[in-house]
Amino acid sequence: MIHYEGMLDETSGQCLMDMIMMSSVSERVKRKDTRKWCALAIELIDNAIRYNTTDHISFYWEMNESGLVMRLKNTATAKDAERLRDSVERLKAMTPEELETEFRAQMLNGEFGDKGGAGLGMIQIIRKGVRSLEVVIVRRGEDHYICETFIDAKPE
Amino acid sequence: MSESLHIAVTRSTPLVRFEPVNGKFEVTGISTPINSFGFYSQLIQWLDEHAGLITSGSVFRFDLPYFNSASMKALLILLQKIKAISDTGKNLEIEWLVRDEDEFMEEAADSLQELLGMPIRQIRE
Repeated sequence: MIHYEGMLDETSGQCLMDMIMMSSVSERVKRKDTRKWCALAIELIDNAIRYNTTDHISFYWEMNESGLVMRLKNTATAKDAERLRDSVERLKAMTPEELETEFRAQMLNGEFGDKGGAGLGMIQIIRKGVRSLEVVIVRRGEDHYICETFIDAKPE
Repeated sequence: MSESLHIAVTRSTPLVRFEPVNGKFEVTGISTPINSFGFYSQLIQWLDEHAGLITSGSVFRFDLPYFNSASMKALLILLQKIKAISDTGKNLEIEWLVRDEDEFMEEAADSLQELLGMPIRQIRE
């Protein structure tokens, strides 16, 4: 279990990713699932580093025999928060075949966003079978949103 | 040495060692930079400028314990560059390390191979 409240920048984000990857060597959970879950946690943290509008996040990660619970809370602009929420809803409505088409299109377009994103993080999470991904956004100011991402995944 | 490319490892970027004289091209380490394309564009530019030095039999070896999806996209662009050099008639090999039956890495290699249209040999350690 990891519960972190504090600063998030590229360095502290990397520390969190390292800790999560360390947990993938645990004997208590099936390897196949742990590795996948670690990869998607990395995507969420990576996303938060890019789009967080303050230097603070809240991150909770608990992985055991019954599954994974992950919660990440960060701030974002209205545009980025709404785009994340809408993107996740759109991707979750896709069939596996449509997700594969979307993945291919994003991989092959050669484009990166202003903040260095590749448009792949959420596709990868849902494509890897984690449809329990939920995004809740709450407006806190003119251009200031709290963005909360949840995952509650069960072993395959 | 000036015709080699050496980039030191950092917490979020891999070690890069491109040595055309030995036919060895290695990318080794975690890859989670925020500006992934910025990092890999150095390698792509080097390949553009030094393609003539790369000989048949050269091996490009990728050993990435984990990476973010932006790195995966940037890696595909790098691999496309390698394929373009290979398509000029040079026999190049791409190796991709997979440790501990890591399914995530296997799937990444499979996806990249399919998108690239060139074999990526998975080396299991």
